[in-house]
Amino acid sequence: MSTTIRVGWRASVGLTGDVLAALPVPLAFPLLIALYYGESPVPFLAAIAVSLAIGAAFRSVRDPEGDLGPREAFLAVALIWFLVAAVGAIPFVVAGVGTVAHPVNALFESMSGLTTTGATVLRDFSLHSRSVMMWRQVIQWLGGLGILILATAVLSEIGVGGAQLMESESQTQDVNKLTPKISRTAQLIWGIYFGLTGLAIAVYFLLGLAVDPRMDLYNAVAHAFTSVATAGFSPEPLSVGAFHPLIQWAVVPFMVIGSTSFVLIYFAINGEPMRLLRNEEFHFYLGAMATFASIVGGALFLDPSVTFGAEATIRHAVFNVASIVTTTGYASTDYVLWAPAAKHMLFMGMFVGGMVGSTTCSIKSLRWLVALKSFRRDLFTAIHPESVRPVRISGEPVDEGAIRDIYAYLLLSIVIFFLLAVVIVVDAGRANLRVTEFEALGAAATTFLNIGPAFGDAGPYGTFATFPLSTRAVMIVLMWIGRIEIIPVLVLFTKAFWTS
Amino acid sequence: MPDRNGNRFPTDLGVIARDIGSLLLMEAGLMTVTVVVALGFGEFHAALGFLLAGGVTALVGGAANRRFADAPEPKMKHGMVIAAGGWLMVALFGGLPLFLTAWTTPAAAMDAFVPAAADTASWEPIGVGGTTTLSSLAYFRDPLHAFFESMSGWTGSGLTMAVHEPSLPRAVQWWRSFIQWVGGVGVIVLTVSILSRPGSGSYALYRSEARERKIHPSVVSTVRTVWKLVVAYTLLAFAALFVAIRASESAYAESLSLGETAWQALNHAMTGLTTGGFSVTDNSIATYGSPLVEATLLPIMVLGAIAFPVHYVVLSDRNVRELAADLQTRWLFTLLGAGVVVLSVQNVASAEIASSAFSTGSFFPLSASPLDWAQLDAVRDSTFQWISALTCTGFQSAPIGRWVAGAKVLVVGAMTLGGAAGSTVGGIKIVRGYTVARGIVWQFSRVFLPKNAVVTARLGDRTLDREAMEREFGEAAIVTLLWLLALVAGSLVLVNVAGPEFGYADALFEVASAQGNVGLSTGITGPSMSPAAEGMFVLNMWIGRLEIIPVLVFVRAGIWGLNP
Repeated sequence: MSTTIRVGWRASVGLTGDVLAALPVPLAFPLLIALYYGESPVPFLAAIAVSLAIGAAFRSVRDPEGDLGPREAFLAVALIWFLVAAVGAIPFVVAGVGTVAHPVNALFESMSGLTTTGATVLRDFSLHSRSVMMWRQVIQWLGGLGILILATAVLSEIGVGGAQLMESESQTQDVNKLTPKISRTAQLIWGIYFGLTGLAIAVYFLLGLAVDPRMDLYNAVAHAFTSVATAGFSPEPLSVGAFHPLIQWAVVPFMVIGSTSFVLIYFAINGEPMRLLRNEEFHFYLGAMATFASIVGGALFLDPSVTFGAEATIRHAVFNVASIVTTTGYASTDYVLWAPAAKHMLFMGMFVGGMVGSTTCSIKSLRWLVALKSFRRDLFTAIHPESVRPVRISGEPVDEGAIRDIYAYLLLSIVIFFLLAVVIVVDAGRANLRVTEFEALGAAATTFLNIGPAFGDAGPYGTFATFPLSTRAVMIVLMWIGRIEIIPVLVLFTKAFWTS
Repeated sequence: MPDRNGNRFPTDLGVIARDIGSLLLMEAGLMTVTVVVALGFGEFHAALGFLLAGGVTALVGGAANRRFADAPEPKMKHGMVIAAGGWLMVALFGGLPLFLTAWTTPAAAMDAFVPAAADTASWEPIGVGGTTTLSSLAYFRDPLHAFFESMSGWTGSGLTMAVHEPSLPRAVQWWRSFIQWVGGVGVIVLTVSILSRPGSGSYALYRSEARERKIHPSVVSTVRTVWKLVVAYTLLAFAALFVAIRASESAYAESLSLGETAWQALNHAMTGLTTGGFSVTDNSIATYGSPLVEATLLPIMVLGAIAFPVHYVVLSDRNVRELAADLQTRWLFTLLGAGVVVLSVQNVASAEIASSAFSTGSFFPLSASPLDWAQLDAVRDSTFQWISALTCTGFQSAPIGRWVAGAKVLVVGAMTLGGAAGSTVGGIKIVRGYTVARGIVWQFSRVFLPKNAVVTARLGDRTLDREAMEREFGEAAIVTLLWLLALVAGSLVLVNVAGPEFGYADALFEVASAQGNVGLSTGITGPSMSPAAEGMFVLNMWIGRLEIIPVLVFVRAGIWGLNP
């Protein structure tokens, strides 16, 4: 190449090396579980060795002078999410049991975990050791942790797809100094994340003692990890539906909090609860969830084939809508069996998402709120072209450039989602697999928007292993792209990124 | 007078009512023309129906026009409301002659319209006042069907409630073609004049694309120029179709009399050129079974999908190269070519799967005959349907409902994009799609640049600064987003109310067809569809024709008025 590369890639690779070198810490957790239950520790030892080796190699190329700018951050984010998923797949392959012994399936499971998606290719849950099942939960918890840093410290500073509109605890103008910002945010946000996880473990465990012996300490930890991370893996084949109704109700608030802006939770804890309670995005997010839940509940009450009692109907409507809108992906019952109208509402709910600055995935409430408000504003200016009226969120005027960013983000998401659906339909047709168009749309949305289950074979009690291998490979890439908000990956493919 | 008006009605309402009133008066004039057609064919029941409808329309239009004659000149803020309200009212009153003709014609007289040669074994009898008839005219006794047909006509869609078009009276056949023809001119005038006024929010892109390219500055002269072009093109298309049908070797084409051939050529020339898509034959263009007729219609539909300002420039400069100079036309031809290839590949591949069930031979592309007959048919159907879809015409030559989902989805893409803005096509239009694509790339390629960097963007031949590019992109993005949201919401509603034999791809296809004013159908649309879906389609066609924003402004004005 004649032009020189202007990206400080050594800094990006170095940061990736730091993360990989730290990976043995979370890997130690399933390792201890394996030792406790007398299962083989080899899968985790192998992964620890690989991550240490790659980590050391990557750290050695670091240029001590280089600092992270926005471009270096994009590159690092893309690398970290992909390589951590790859290392995370090692235990599945080494354990060599069930569908995930295949490397593509192992990477699917690991990527689905790290991106807090929750789509699984496992067929028979009982084949797998308790330590491997716990690793699935840990990697999701880790993914939630990573996305919090990414959302609150990196994307909001660079301004990807309108993420700059997020309320943050301090506005730094100097985007070329990301490192101090990342570490400061980490300290504040991680405290809340750890605290919430601890609280969830305690609540689930105590409820388990009271009403359901199957919710033992193992399950309490496993589900606490994936509910606060709005991730959705469960060691139980029936997901949260395996447990007592009371426990299902208890999971709902943790999913909801996991999808609430952690910055605003930080303020609420530090004596400023009104900043959360008066936040319009928070209202929109709760309102959307309530609306979807009432419509789904109504559809269930009207459906003669659904024979739950009143409490169960409300619970299933609320639980599954919360699970989809917060992008968790648990299920309290097999909603694949519901009437089409209820399923269509769940499908629509996939596109909403929680608040920015949380562990949620999907498009996120803030983007929809800004888009809707600016539509309304533009209807006004269509009649009164001479008037100037800014779009306001929680009283603050929104930057016009950010509105365009959000339009671009929405359109790009819809286009990618639709293309993925077409790929799924065509690929299934090629493999002679019967996938209806609606199931394909659901599977496309659920992987690209990182939710978890969809409809048909990909339903909450089904498995993605039925899709052709090529489809699963495409899904892996799209989970990755979707989780880190599209742009960090796409800009890597522009020439301007590398040279200008 | 003025103070009395001012007291009882807001001035804005007066302005709007007066202008919509004049539109209705014009429509009454069109109905009068149709009365003459009906008398010419000796259809006295239809003549009575059209006369009554014309009278009512003239009465309402005239009253509104007279009552508010003193209202001030329309301003910018009225433009969109008049356009949206006008289209709705014209469509509403345009259904009236269909409805009245269906009721003035007794069942016995209806049966006389069913062609003697038609194979009516599979036709469903329709109950009318204690007896039954085979004539599709009886469907219009339902006011919703009549309104649907009229909206489909005025918006140039082409979805129809008349299952068997040959069994309609000539006057009704003529009315359907006529309103598509006039509606097509109406939408050209709408985009190049009303919606593109500077500062109107510029939802039409012609203002920004090149303001001087507006045919003439004033609406009246625009209308005159567009009419001249349309009439000339229609005559050409009529002659070409007449020759093509006569020269066709299919059994159906050879059975036609000279007069019948001329009638069909005229109607299809009118609806093909304005990319409307109503037909007077039972199975649209598939009736002819003639590659020649299909090939003749292709250039006619493409003519209708090229922006009329471009036609004007090409004809007045006598220079065909001007076509290539226009960004939209360039892309239109690129997309036509690329789409035909992709859709053909998809359909040939699925034809291969279907035929391999009873054929053991392999289909190597280099064997003696590269494609067998089924595959050649697939290519021919793909070509015609792709062009019919992208130009938003809606002539149908193949049973699309039986295509595989992948092919349907491709056609959905074509119907959603549509042809060039400034022509009679539906969809979001090429220039908007192009702006959105460039805008997304532009928006993201500067994420990593410093906030104060000086950046310019290229859009076609224009170079835009940051602010102009953001405005262009924002406007195109809003319409596209609303379009897609309406499409998804509509298809989810439809899949719930349509029969269980239709999948989601069918529902998506049908809504994209209605909203894009195309008219292709997978078989969901028909008199037996649920009234909820039928009403929704009327809405889809209306918002699609006006590109959504004017309809939303209309609704907003209806609720909160035009003042802030």
